[in-house]
Amino acid sequence: MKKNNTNNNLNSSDNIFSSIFKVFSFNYVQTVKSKSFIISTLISLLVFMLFIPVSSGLKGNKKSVLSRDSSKVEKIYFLSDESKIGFDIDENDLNNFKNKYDLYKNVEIKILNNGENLKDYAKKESDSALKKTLFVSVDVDPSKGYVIKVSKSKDSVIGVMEFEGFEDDFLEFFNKLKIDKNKIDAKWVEMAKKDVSLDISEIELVKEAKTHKYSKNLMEESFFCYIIFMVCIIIFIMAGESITSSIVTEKSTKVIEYLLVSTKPVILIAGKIFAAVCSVLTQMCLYAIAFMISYKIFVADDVNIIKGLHLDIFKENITVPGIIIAVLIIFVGICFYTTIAAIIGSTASRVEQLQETTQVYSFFSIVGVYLAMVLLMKSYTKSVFDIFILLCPLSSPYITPLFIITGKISLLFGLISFVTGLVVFLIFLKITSGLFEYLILYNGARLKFKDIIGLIKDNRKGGKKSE
Amino acid sequence: MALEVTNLKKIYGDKTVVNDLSFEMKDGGVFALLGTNGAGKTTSIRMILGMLAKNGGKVLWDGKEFNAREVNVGYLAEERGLYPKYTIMDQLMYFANLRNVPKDVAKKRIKEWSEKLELDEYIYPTGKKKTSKNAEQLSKGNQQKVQLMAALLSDPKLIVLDEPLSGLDPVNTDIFKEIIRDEIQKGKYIIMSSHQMATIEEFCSDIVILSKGNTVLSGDLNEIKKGYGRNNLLVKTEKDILPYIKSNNIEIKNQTPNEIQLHIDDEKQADNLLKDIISNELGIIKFELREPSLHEIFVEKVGEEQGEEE
Repeated sequence: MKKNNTNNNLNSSDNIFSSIFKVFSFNYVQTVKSKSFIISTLISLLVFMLFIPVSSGLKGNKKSVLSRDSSKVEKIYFLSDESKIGFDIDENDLNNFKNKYDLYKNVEIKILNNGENLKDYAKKESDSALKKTLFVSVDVDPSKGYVIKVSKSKDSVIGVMEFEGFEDDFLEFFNKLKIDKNKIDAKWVEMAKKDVSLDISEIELVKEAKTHKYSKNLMEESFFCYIIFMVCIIIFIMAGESITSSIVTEKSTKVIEYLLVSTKPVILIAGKIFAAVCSVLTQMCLYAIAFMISYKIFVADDVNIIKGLHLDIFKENITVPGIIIAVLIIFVGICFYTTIAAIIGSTASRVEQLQETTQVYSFFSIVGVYLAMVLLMKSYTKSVFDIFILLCPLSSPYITPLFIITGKISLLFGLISFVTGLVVFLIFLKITSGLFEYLILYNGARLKFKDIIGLIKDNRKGGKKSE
Repeated sequence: MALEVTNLKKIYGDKTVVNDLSFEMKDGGVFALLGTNGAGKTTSIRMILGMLAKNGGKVLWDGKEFNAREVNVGYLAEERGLYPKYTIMDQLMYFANLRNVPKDVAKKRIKEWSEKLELDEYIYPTGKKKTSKNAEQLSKGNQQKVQLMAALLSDPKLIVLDEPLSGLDPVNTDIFKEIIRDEIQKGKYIIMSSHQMATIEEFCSDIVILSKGNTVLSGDLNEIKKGYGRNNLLVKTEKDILPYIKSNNIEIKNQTPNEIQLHIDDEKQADNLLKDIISNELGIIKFELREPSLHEIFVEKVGEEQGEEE
């Protein structure tokens, strides 16, 4: 309910959330209205929209490049030397190739004799025919084994995706052919090709032996973990730098004095934190939508890029309580990092000092990121170091949520990590809250870390150093 | 309604920057907070407004502890404080929102104030680009006017003005003064800090003078002046008066082509000089006996304080 403020007193029951919302809405709207935000977002959206078609070497019809419904290949010249590769590849074999893959059923395949040169045949073809011709040769390299070379003309109409698709198809065909021709049982070849896996188990002496399987690191299990990790890094770093920049701007322009008459510092900071996080999330959402639109337009239905992300680990382990705990850990992490950003931002008084403050904040972020990255890229062995990374408030927001939703750690452990982060954050807040009220109005040379420690000590004693 | 400030103290480390500042505003009007640079004026204002924690003393409004976030306060800071890249309208609406002024009321008041302060062309531009201008596009004087607008948007009862007229041209100075007079008429409580003594004398009834955190003088300005007595004599004659000034042992404070400013110990000296001027037919153009100006009182008091310390 709006209050007509003609009387002397303001609405003293204006609650803290409403005040935070006022600060949040102003900061958020001004951020998304700013030229820098709009331009950077538009450029990034363009990149996301064009990523798929550009990287796939778009030519002609968009869908057909990524689709395997049809082939532009009309002719294949094939050359192999039986004396080198150890077996003969004849017309029959190549017809089997054509029959196996519908795409090539209308392709004319010409087998060259030994001693003939593919280039000679290339010269004989007309320009238009050459554009739709592939040249395939099979050779042997003592160090590499069988080597298949597939060539096309410089101005061929055969797109990159189709070309790569043919390579995959022919490779698959040849791998089987070489086993068949050498009369080796395919079953033993498969066994020989497979990795040797090692299962380690721990025996619990009290009850029956239980087996704990030591798995690969998260990066190997699913590339999507890396994507989530990078998104978290972007959110934390961009939000923190946004807050640092905002505080330095308000201090250098003295706006902060006006704001402090109406609003408590903690409300100003809370509003800024939410605004910074929401503006970053807005950008992330727009990028995700742009990518999905691009995917829908440029990728054919039969091409499955998502399959390569290996999302099974999430499907098998994700639970609602796990998601809740993961979100809580990220939330506490955001609070912790943004409070650090606010303190660091407050040590500066002028815009010229902004770069230094950003560097200091980046340092804290990088420490957390590197710690988390260690655990992302190595197997989780429950060592003291692993547990430290999962509990440390600097690194846990990046990695612990991932470990929870992929089932690497239990919900109880996740809860312990959340509580640890919360306790550390509250202690940090208590130590620095009085300091912040001083720093926010501080005007002078940028305060260094030792100055801040001195101020904290002075604050505890009840006085502060003179400016 | 009254504002009471009692024994306000601020300590930084081992340095007391504000030492037992006390004053009271029982009725509306203007209270002047004066002092040299670094005397503690802005620190005192910040403590009163709750921006800085106090090390001692209390601030009461209407008998209760004063909280600037609950009482309707308007504040014009000494230094310009606007977001350079945001539009004036957005900023004014934000400041009004923080003071719980409803949107429609805020818009109406912004319109009224922009007309009064002649800021229409910046806040409501006509022409191709119809959005309000950004703060950085305004001159310093116009930014100051915007900030005054921001301070008064919520129709505050207590207004704190820190150097409100600094950097303003004569036209804008008159506009500001007119607005301050209007607010006084409405019975507002105004705390003003300034170095422009002439302006302070125009508006203020009560003053306090600070020097290095200490109060060197406080009270009703008229009473203070009466206490000094009428010891300033301004004289201008057609003929040379200097010998008679010397013979009467009168101190010359200042001499310009237009007048001679004299300091007398008592009015008898002035009488004797006047008799000399008349009897010697020196031709009086100006003979004015008056109280000391606030400027003179300030310089004398602060100079005394600094002399004592040395």
